[in-house]
Amino acid sequence: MTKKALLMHWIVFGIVGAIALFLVLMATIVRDQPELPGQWSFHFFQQTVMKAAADRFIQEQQVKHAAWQMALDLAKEGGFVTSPPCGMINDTTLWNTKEDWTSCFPSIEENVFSLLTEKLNKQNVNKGYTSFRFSGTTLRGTSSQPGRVQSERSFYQEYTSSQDFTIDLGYSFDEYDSLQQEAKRLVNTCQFKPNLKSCLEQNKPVSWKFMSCTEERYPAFDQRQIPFCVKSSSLVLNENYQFQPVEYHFAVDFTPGQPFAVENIHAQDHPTPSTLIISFDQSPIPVEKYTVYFIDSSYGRSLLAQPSFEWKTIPSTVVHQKIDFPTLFLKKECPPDFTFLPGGSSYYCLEQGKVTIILYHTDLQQGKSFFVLVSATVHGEESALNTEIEQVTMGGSV
Amino acid sequence: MFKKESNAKKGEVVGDALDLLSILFTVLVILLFLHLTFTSSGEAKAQQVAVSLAQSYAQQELLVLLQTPITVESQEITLSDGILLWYHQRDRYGSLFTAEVQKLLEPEKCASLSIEPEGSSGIQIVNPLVISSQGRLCQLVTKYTSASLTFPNERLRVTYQYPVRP
Repeated sequence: MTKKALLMHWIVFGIVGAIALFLVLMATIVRDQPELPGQWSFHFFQQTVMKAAADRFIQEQQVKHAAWQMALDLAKEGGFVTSPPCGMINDTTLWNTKEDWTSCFPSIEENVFSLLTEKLNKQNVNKGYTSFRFSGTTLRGTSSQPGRVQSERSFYQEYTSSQDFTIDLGYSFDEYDSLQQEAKRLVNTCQFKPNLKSCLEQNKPVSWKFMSCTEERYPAFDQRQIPFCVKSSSLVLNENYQFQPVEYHFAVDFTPGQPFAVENIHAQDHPTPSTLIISFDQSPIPVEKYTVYFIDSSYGRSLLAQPSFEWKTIPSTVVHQKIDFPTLFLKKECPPDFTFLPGGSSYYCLEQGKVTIILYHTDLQQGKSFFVLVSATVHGEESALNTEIEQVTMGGSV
Repeated sequence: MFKKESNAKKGEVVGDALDLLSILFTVLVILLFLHLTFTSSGEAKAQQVAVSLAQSYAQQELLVLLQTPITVESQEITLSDGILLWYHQRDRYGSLFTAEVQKLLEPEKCASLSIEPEGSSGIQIVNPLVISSQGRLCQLVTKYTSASLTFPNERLRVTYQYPVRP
């Protein structure tokens, strides 16, 4: 071996020795260095607690957006997720029938739970929620599943936390209660008004629109179940990320408990013997039949006008009759002149909100005077018949 | 003959001197390396702690920021909803949103918020939105860390950049 080769040999040994020394020293340095205080706790906080907080934030964000969609959908169906128990009118859910609100009005808390659960399941973000409660604009969810986050490196750490949430929707489901209160007030005010349209126009809040929020129009004249559209003042983000007011669609039944008394009765004798022409206002609600009563005026007006008066109490010695006119056969057009109608039979028709009846009866004898009364019957229930008493003398009107 | 032998010896001595120099150089490098390791390990640890702390602050502040209310068209919404609103209707809310975020970023924080789609999916934003707080001292900050959060439905990533202060 030459001197040079020997030298190179030692150089190699020297380098290897230096590296070995370096590694040994490094190991000693690392081992002898004191651990930073709180390293485990800091790692735990950063890797699990903060991660859980971020996960929770994302989850709440998803629930909030699902809740907004749900609020829009629910209001569109009048608060129902299944077919409404009291039916629909013009594709709008009925919230009452006459005085009954209990069986027709939706249970909002139940329906919120059902619809929100369905939406969260569809998006695969349901964390085992067992209830949703709302108070004001706050929605609270309770979950049966705890959330778990594990650290990814250095230490084995696991953080378990509840997945309950509290979010501010900026919209309150309590609006359904306010709408119901307002609807009840309207029913109390307008239920017994024959001209429902005029009453509603005077009493409904400005935000309540007939039928549609964009193209408001009043339904048919004799319809007492009125669909409404109400825009909430609260805006939520819709699925296209646009601000949209929650729009409620529901119908309110203004049908009175009893049929309306027939108004503006007018009776006169017809040129044909034993025949009367009776006219009165059409009932503001659909009726099954009109009933015409006539009685010899000798019976006395005061007796008829008593609140406790009953038709069947009239003695048989007094001439009196009761004749039904079912609306099913009510003619929708009246002749231009009733004078030339063939005698010996009855006829009735409707024109311009007035019902006209040509009544023929052999008891209507010439020269005699009669009281005429009219009632309307709805669902077998008859209106008061003695609110208006018209008197007519055969062979010359009174 | 003698002259030839003398020249060969001279060459050998020069070669040995060069070898010795290289050995000395190697030893010096090793010593320098060891010296640096000894002296800088403490600083490195301190730096590592500073980065971790900054990262932790960034995470916390990002969450707080996202839940902070902002006003858009007289409606009070959280910044996170504002981000989605901006993302889906940039033409309408672009400048309004930027101004609202600018108000939230305090100048002395030297932080910035950026929004971009995650990965290649989602709607491509040609220039991802970056809103920075611009304090006088921010030019002195040389090192930053960041925290980010992804909105899974929109696959949108929000990143909050935060300065590392030793």
